[in-house]
Amino acid sequence: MTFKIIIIGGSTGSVKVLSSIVEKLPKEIILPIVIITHTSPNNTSLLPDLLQNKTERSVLQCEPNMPIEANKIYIAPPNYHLYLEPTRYFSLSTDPHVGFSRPSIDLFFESVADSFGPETIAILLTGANADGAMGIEYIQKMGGITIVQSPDTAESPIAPHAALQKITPDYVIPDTDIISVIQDIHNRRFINRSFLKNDFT
Amino acid sequence: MLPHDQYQIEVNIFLDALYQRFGYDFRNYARGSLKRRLKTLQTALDAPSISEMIPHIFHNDDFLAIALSHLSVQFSEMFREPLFFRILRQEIVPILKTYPALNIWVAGCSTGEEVYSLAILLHEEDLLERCHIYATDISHSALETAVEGIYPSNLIEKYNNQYISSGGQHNISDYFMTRYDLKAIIPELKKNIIFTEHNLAVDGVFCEMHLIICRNVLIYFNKELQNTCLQLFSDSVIRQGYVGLGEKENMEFSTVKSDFTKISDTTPLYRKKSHFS
Repeated sequence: MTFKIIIIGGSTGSVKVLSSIVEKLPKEIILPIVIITHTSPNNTSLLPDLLQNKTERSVLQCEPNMPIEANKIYIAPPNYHLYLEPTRYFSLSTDPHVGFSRPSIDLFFESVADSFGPETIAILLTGANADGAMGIEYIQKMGGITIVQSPDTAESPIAPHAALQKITPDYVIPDTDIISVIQDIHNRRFINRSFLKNDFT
Repeated sequence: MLPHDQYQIEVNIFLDALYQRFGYDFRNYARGSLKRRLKTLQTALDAPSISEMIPHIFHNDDFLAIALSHLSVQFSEMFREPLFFRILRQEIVPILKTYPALNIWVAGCSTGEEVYSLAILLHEEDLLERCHIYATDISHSALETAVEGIYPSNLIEKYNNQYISSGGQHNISDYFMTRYDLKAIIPELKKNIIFTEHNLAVDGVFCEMHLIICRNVLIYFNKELQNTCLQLFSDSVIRQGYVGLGEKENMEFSTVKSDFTKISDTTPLYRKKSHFS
């Protein structure tokens, strides 16, 4: 199993964690990364610049029709729902909030699970509401790898707890272990799980 | 085949049947945001799956109205993205004033908030009298609401803030009459507006326009349909005329990009070039 995308969702407290992940991500990992957060609208619009300072990879804010490309980091714009189309480019919507959130981590994770299925690595970080719990559940259902930040290391454990109510993720880890886990998954490139025994021809 | 591939096949067949039966083409709407609206339609029809909605297409007289109300996007606000209206006032109105008569098209006008915002702006700039404004939408029920121009009073404060941010010098309430907990647009603003059905996916050019506004509609379409619409706008707008899109929309990925010059760095306003090289 090769992986094609890493998606990371979070809200309150996630900026520090994201900053560290982006800074420390090894050069050999060229998967596109999409980051979706909903802190207050003003904060999230600073995120592209903040993260660009930490990495040589291009950090871009998602726009409609923007294709997803290797070795780039994409950030959901504030106040729109973000989707990944089956044709592998981004789309946005101005539909009302879902789970009190816009962008909704649930909606985005679901659209990625639909497009990339088992080729997805999904990470849910600290957050102040349950947004992301249903999304990561769907990721697991579609065969993707699920990683949840451990509640005791999360600035706001509400999101991790909500996720743990719904699924047993592949990994529940402190934020400081995320890079090494990504590296491990990337290097192994194949996870022996019963799901993969289904025939998807 | 992944489960989602099967789902997309089901959706393709359903939308194809809808198109063939009624001529409404949702086949090229962006599938990401469409999925959720298909789900609410399923619930409304009490159908356990997408393909189980297909019999409704042929045997349920209420199907079309229900489908349109769920599948078309109907969220709108007055003076949404105030910066757009501010730039419109500053950069485009002076040019529009040089024409003795103006045709303006608000495409995908939904329940009317956008077109009444434009009418207010044109009125304040002494342009409204010489304008023919065509406000079109795919949804008959949205157009019925738009024609009435009645909105909940509790939204007016938000609308007023956005109106002020756009450069408005008065109070947006000046343009409404109060009826209980509702506000109705004053008749003077409606006189130059024609509300009519038009389907961006299938219908063509109907008039030459000086200004076309289509905001937060194209994001709901896939890339191909967006391009078709932008081509339609390019064909409809006069040389040196303007096309205004929604904040996150642009012509970057379109084949008509080189027909236009982007006239603002901060908002998607484009002017059709007068010469083609």
